Amino acid sequence: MSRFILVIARKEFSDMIRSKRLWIILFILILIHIGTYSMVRYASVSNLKGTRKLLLIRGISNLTSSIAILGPILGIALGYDAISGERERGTLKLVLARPVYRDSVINGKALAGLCIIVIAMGITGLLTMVFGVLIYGMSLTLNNVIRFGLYTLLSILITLSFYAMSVLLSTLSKKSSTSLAISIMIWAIFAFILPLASYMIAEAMLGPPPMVHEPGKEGISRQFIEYSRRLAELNNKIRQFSLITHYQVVANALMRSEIIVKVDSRMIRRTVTLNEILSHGWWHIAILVIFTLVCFILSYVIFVRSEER
Amino acid sequence: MQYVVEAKGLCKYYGAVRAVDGVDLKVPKGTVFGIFGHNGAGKTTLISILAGLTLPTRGKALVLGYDVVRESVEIRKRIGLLPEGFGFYDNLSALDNLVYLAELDGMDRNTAKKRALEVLEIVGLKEYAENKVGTFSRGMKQRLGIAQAILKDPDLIILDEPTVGIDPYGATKIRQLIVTIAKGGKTVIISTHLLYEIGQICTHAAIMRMGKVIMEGSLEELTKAIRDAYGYKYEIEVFDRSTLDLIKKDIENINGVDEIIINDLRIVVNSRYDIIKEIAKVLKDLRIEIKTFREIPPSWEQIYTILYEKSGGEVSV
Repeated sequence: MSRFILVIARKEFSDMIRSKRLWIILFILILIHIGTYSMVRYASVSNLKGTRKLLLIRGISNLTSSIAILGPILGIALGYDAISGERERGTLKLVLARPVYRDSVINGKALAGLCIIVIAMGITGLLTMVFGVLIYGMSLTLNNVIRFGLYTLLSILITLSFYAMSVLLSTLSKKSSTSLAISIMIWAIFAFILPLASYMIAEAMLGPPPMVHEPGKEGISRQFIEYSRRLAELNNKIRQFSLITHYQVVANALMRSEIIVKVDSRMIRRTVTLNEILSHGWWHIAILVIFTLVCFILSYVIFVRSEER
Repeated sequence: MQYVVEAKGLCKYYGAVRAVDGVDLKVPKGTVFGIFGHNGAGKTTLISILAGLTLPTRGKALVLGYDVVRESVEIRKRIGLLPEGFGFYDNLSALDNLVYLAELDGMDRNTAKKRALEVLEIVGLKEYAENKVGTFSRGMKQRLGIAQAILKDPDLIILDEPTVGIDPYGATKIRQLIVTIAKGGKTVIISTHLLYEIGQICTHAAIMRMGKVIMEGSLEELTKAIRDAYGYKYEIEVFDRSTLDLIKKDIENINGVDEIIINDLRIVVNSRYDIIKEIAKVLKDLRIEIKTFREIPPSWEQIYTILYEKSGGEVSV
C-alpha cells in the first residue's frame, strides 16, 4: 500500500472522528437503544399475556430499523463531501500539486471511511449484543455471537454502501450541497418512498382488483385471493429495488431467530438456523456488496480520469 | 540545464475553447518569470500543464527536464506550486496543514514538522503556527500558500496570481517574500494580471493573449523591442523656463524626433530612434544648467496596450 494512502487515510480518519455529524448520529443510535431498553424492560415486568413477546419483537425491529435508517445517513454524512468538499475548499489542488497519484486520494478516503464505519457500527453491534444479553436474556452461545457478528457486518455493509454511493456522487458533483441533496433523495426513496409506493406500483401493474365476493357465493373469491397473492409477491419484488429492504430481510432473520412455518397444515414456531439464513439471504448480501463495489470502482475511475482546472 | 521550462506548440482545448493555443516558452534558470495576461488569457491552464496537473491536448513541454505528460509525478516531486483558488483545512492549525502537505511531499512526520516550522518562519507566520487557518486573514492564507509551495525547498516555484484579492499592504509583503525567495537562487514563475507586478519583481516575462504567448523575453529585451518598434521618450527638466525654447530649437533638428512637448519646466521628446546621445550632445553644447535628463521607459501598461492592439485585441488596460 502506498505511503500516501496511509497519510491521507490518517488525516481523513482524524477529521471524521472529530466531526459533529458522526457523534450526532452515534448519539441518536445510542438513544434508540436506550429507548428500546425502556420498552423491553416494561415488557419484562408485564404480566399481560402476549404483551412481552410482542414488545420484544418490536424492540428487535426498532434496533434493525434504526440501523436501516441511520446507517445510511451515517454513510452519507461521511461521504457526501469527500471529493466535492475538497474541490470547493481548494484543498484538492494543494494535495494534487504533490507527487501523489489521484488513486491514493480516493483510496485513502475510502480506507478512512471504512475504518470509521467499522468502529461506529461495531460499537452499535456491541450495544445490541449487550442489550440482548442483559435485557432480552439471550444466552451468549457461539450461535448467538455469530448472529450478532453477522448482524454487525451487515450493518457495516449497509452503511458502507451508502458511503460509497455518496462518495461517487461527490466525485461527480462540483458542489457538496448537490451530492448531499441527491444522496438524501436516494436514501428517502429507498427508505420511505419505495416501500410506500410499492403497493401503488404493483396495483398499477396488475390492474384493478377483482370482486372480493363472487355473486351468490360465500367467502372470499378465488380470483381475489390469487390477486392478493400476486400483489404481495409483486410488492416484495418492487421493494427489493431498495438496498434497505435487502438489509432488513437478512437483519431481521438474524435477530429474530424464530419463524412460523406450516407443517402438515399446522402453523408451528421454530428456530431459523444460520445455514438457512445464509442460504436464503446470500443474494441480499451479494447485492449490497456489489452495489458498494460498483460505486467505489466508478468513483475511482471517474476521479482518476478527471482533471482539476 | 539552461532552461527550467521548455514548451513547444503546447495546446489545451476544452471543447471548442482554446485555453492554451500553441504556446512556445522558455524559462531560464534562476529568473523570476512573469506570465502576464488578463483574465481568460490562458495563464492558469498553462501553469496547470507545467505543474503536471492537466494534460495538454497537443504539444510538448519539459519542466526541469521531465516531460509533463509521461513524468508528471517527477515534476511534482521537484516543484512548489501555489495554485489559483487554493484553500486550506480551516479546522486544522497552520502547522498541521503544512505537516500534512509535507508528508504528501514525501517527508516523514518529524522532518515534516521541522520543515513546516522553518517555512512558517520564512513567511512570517511562526507565531500563528498553532492557530486554526479558519481564523487567518486572506493575506495570511496567501503567505501560508507560499509556505506550502516552498516546503520541499524546490528548484522551481510556480505561483498563480499570488497577490490576487489581497490588500495593498499584504500584496507588498507577498511581493517582498517572492523577491526574498528568488534571491536564494530559485526559479520563480509568477502569473499575474497586475502589470506593475511584472516590473516590480520579474526579470523575465511572457505576455499571453487568448491562449497564445504574444511576447517573451527579459524585461530589458521586452522594453527594448517595444521601444525599437514604437519609439522612445526623453524628459529634460531645467531651472530656467526661458532656456526651454533654445533646447527645443536644437533638438528639433535631430533626425528621428517626432514630437516635442513643453510642460512647465520640462520638455518631453518623442522619437522613433534612440537619440539619447544626440540630446546629451545638444545639452552639452548649449551649456544650459539642467536639473534632470532621463529617458522615460514605457510603462507596462503602455507595453501591454501596444502589444494588445498589435495582436488584434481590444484595449482593456
